[in-house]
Amino acid sequence: MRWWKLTLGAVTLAGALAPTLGATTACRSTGPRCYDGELVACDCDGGPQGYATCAAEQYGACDCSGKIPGTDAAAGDGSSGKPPATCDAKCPFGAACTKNEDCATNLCNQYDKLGGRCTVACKVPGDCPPESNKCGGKGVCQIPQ
Amino acid sequence: MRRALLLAPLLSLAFAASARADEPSRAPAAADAPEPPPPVVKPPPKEEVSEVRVIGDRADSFRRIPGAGQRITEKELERAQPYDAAEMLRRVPGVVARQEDGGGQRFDVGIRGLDPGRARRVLVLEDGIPISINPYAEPDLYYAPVIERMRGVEVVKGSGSILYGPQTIGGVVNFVTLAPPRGTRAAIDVLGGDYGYVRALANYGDAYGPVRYVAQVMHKEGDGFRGEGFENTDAFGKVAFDTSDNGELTVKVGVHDDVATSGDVGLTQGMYERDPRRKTLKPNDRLHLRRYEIGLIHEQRFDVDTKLQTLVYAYETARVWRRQNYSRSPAAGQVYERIVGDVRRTNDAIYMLHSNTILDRTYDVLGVEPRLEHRFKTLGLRHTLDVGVRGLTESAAYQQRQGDNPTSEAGALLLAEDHRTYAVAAYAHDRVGVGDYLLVTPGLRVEYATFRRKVGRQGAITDAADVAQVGDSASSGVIPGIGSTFGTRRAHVFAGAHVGYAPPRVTSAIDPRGRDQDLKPERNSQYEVGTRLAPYKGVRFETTGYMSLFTNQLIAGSDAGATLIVNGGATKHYGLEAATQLGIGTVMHLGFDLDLTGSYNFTHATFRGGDNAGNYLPYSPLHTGTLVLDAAHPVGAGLQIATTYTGYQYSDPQNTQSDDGTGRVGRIDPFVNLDVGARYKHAASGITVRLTVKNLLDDVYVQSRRPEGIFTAGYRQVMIGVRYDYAAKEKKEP
Repeated sequence: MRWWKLTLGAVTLAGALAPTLGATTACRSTGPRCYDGELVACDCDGGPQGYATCAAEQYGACDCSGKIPGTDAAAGDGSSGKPPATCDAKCPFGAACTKNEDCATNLCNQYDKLGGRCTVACKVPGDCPPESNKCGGKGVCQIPQ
Repeated sequence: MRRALLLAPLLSLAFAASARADEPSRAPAAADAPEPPPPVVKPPPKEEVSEVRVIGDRADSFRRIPGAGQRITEKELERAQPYDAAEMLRRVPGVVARQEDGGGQRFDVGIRGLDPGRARRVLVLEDGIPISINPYAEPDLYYAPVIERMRGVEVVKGSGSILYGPQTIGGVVNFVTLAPPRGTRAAIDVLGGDYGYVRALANYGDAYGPVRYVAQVMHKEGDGFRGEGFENTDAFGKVAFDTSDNGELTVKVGVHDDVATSGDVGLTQGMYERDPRRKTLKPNDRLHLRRYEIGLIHEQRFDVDTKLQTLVYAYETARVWRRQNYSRSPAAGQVYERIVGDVRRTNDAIYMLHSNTILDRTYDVLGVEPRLEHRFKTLGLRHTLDVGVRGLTESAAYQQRQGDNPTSEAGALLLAEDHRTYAVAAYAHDRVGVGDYLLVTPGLRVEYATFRRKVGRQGAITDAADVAQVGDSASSGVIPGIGSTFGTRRAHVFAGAHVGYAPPRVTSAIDPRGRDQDLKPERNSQYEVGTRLAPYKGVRFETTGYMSLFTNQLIAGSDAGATLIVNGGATKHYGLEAATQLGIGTVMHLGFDLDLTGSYNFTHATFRGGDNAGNYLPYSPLHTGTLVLDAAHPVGAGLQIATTYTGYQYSDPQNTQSDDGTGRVGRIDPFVNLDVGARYKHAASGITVRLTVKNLLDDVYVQSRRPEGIFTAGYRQVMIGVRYDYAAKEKKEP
């Protein structure tokens, strides 16, 4: 008897739910595709990586000027996804790096969010350069973001 | 049959003895006099199986706990139809619970001004078993209790928390899961809402002779309010059976799988101003968590005054979190996958790198805890003595890899390390009845833990190398406490004092080179005094004043975006909690339930020294409050309106008022949550229909600036649900 009731309940429920789920799943949220002024990487023919700028919620043509649009910053060579060290000599504290030899401090640390950055080993905040002044938990100075 | 016949008088005696031990020996004639001991009759049918409760369901449960405590009942859960556990916890005075996207499977909980980040300062249990990923070395709550499993929640904040550990600085939150029924019960429940939200669950329970069981499967998924889609599947089962005439074993097993888009970077101030409903900046970030658990609770009653309860549990939490790397400023020569925000505005742009970081971690916990309860009398004093020991070992295996693209799950191995903890704890807790009205409960807990950190690989992307760095550390704590209540169960005052203890995190206690940093565990001194009044049926008031003094509180800091635990220095917390429950329908004989419950909390938590002396602790709002009005008519119709107020708070120890553009620091303005729900249950068919609107105001606000930037909440969500319940007549004891 109880199985009959259970089955009946399940069928009733399924019938009631079909329109409910149909209605709710139709209410999926949307948003703008992109925000004006924001940039996305794009390929340039044989040159460094370029950036397309968002306007009217869509990205425009690829800017291959070699700079990040809206800034004076160089766009990078785009040859790989890894950060190349392009410092003139040894990279200063906070610069992107791939190995210890890239850095004037001789320490390239892998930060969770920033990737490889030149830093200094420390025990107390006083060991760190003035622009950092914070000794992180891994025994290396924090990089100001 | 013979077992039951033997058991019935034993249980009767146990109930009577319990009453003798804890209740006054004689019953004065006054109206608010202590309850007389229950008559020695056959005990009522036992619905609950052997389980660990920090408060319990007895009428005088609150008088028996030495300090402040609150209980969320099954009825309250049914009526509220919570989206997640945080929604219910924020109704408890003194508790700050931050909801997070991802279907409610992660949340932050703080008690009495403590930093709520990942509930690190709160001991969270499920059926008395800890659920944090590593209770000693990394007490973070990446698996939040699935509220659909629960039939109740208990919160203890006073010295009663020393029965549980290792964390005793904040309080204990115990989630109580569904109990195996005595007869056939089944339910099918489907819920759908906007933002693509769908939840379906089915459970079934039954009893065959002395064996009772319940099983439940639930799946939910959605697009998330901020474009952070999620899929959760949870299954659990419980079986309870007799192991002897006076013994019972409950076995619980569970599996939980949770996949969600989960970014660690929130909006900058400029982005928030342009569009507070902006979706996640990191759609490629994904967190996958899988948890397996098994718990055994055995209860052996030796005589009417003595029982031994033994917990054995093990669980594994595997968590893989991939997060796209980023920078807040352009670095020379760097290439970016995207740049979000305005590059011309200070601190507004975030430069997303092509690479990602994959944090692949597996945590295991194994614990054994026998606990003996014995009632006896000495010198005219009635004692209820709890003594227990707990052995626990936990391990963690970390791997950190760097992938070449934002969705990589593989990557190059940069870091590998293992952690191992061996811990032992012992405690004794004696509830002493003095005369008719006074209960005094002294207690002592001793904790000792050894930690080992073994780093097997570390370095940057091109020079990561295998290493063998091993470090050991140890921590111990003696945690005394005393609490007392004076009065009857209808009206009593309580007071307590205890030492709070929290072991240091292993990654802080031992540096990456394996050196013991000699970090001390966190300690505080906690004091509270309060009163509870229940003058009429359905009417209850509770107020508590408290103070907590830390010599050095660890707080969450940040290192280039990674959350770090740093020394916060001495802090002082004091405040007032008040809760009321008015059964207006009962008191006024309206013929239907009309319940008004409310709570208010004032918390003043500040730094006592150093550069931040006088500043408020981060994420500690000065005022919080809740008001819930629920009406339930016997025909089956019901309505609930619930509102919560959270006062202003700061995101950093410096109490920075204005945002610096990054969204990471600045005052967080007060916000209000308003939820409404209507329900109708057709008793004859067992069908219940529900309409629930969470955050009716649809007023999106800044909820948090953590881990990195502004995270919003307050999105209105309309949900429609249908449930079918089947309950056969309960089977009699054979």
